[in-house]
Amino acid sequence: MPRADIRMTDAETRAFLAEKREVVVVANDAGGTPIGTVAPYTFDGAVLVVSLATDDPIVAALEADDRVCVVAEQFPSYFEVRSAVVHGRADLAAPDAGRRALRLPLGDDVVTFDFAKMTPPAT
Amino acid sequence: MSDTTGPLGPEEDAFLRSHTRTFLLVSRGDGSPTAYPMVGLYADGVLEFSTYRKSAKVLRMERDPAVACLVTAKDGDPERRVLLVRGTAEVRPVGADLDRAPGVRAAAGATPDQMRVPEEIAARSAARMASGKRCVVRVVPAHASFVGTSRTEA
Repeated sequence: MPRADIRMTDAETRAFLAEKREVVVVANDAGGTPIGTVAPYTFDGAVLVVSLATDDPIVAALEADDRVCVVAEQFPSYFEVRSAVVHGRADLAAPDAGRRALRLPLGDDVVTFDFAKMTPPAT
Repeated sequence: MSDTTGPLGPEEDAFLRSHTRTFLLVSRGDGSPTAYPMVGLYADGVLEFSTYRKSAKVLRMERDPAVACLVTAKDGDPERRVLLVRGTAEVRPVGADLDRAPGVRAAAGATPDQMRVPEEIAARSAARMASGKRCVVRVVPAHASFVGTSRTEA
């Protein structure tokens, strides 16, 4: 039996990103090894805007290497697992009241899954 | 069971024993970072995951085993700390120790934060572990620190 396509559609991805409030932000450290943090964000249907604290180590990492990955995810139960992993280049704004805004457009380099679309095992 | 924490302090060890929601941070072929949401099971100072042997994440970790794990509490949990564990990934077949494999342990309700895997999924996972289609990824910690200063109040 062919495996089910469990990816979210573009519309589902945008709707999912619009309903979540926090994301995992991933960047490369000075040695090229990934590091991460958790931060609040907003999404206007096209661009994610993540709010980072100016003293978060990931800010310095992104200033040195702007390649970023942002992950929205949920796991209330197994078949409700959904995730969107967005890759791109971070556009960091100037500091403002102790925060730096990271802008990331929703481009083509996105990996998604929705376990509700999974074909249950044969019993 | 031994209680080896290695480079992990008692707070970090206690956090990992309580929380399994894990983002496995890996380098892609072009050096850009990516992440995989996983259930990470911690025992004997090592984080373990179950995944498909031919998956992109395994191929990436075999090429570059320097990884990180970002561990958080479940949504709705009052715990706001986030733990970043940096280490080296080892890809292993399950072998004879199937009962201790991460996917099987999760199905048995062995996760402390009740990240449950349905029985039918666990059975399929166990069969695929036994056949070699699935494998275990072990992350041996080299350093751990609480991060998440960007997180605001819930």
